Amino acid sequence: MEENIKLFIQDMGIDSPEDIKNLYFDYLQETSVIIEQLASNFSTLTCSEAEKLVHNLKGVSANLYVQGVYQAALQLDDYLKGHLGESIMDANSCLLLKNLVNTYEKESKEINSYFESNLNSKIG
Amino acid sequence: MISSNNTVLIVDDSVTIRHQVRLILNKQDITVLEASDRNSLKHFISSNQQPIDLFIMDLGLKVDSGMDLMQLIRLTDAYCDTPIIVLTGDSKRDTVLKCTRFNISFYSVKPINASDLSMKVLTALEAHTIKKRSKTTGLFDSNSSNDNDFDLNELDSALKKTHMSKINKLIDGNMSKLKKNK
Repeated sequence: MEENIKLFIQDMGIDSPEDIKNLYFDYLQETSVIIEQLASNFSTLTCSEAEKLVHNLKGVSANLYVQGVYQAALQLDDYLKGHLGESIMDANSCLLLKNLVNTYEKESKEINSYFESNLNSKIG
Repeated sequence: MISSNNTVLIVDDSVTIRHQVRLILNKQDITVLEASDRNSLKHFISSNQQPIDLFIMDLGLKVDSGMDLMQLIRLTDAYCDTPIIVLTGDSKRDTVLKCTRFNISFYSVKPINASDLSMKVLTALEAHTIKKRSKTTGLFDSNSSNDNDFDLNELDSALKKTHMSKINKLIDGNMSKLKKNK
């Protein structure tokens, strides 16, 4: 994740470490809500509702180079799109959701850890 | 030539995307306002306090449709020809074609490329400024540049020849050539 963040900073061309940190923290705040909604309510969501949430998570993760979450969300999104109108709760969707949640937890920890260690130093 | 007092309104329901766009455009000395849905968009376009020079529009908002919001913008007198840049994760050909009826300036596909987005915004603002100045000086021939006259058959044909991943290049390079000849 550290390499991805450095690449993101380089591609965005933003010099301020504070700006980058605030952007990633906005990301964590926004996506933690999505993950919570998916994890807590998966069995009660329709396929379409779940797909919308996953689609949003996928998009915003791709924008900030959070590649693991993007890939996991992509897999679940593709699966849900192929099963719209069906019951959401099957072994495959649950497995994909579990993978997404685990990946998200891992990468959000890495993001937090990166900014904690780079708080007082120049990013990149 | 571009004024440093330009104001852009980003319409996207993701706080992260709006934040990212704001950082990108602030670097170009552009003021960025943010709206997340129809109500907040209506607040900005009906208010006279801060005119909008360009809109950046997401298509897949949670509740509203980006197409409906673009129609709302175009039906507002003050913004009937203000530049709109679509910024979306949808790269389907049909979607691009549907957007052309709103006289968009560019169609930009996420994930966001900072330099690409900056270039498109600056280009659209510049073109609009030149057009407004031309109207003022009387050098502008309104009959020869009705931006609504895109030849959709030619656009459709051009899109078929290009891989979907090249949509932006097509839109960037060829929109003017696809206008109907009068």
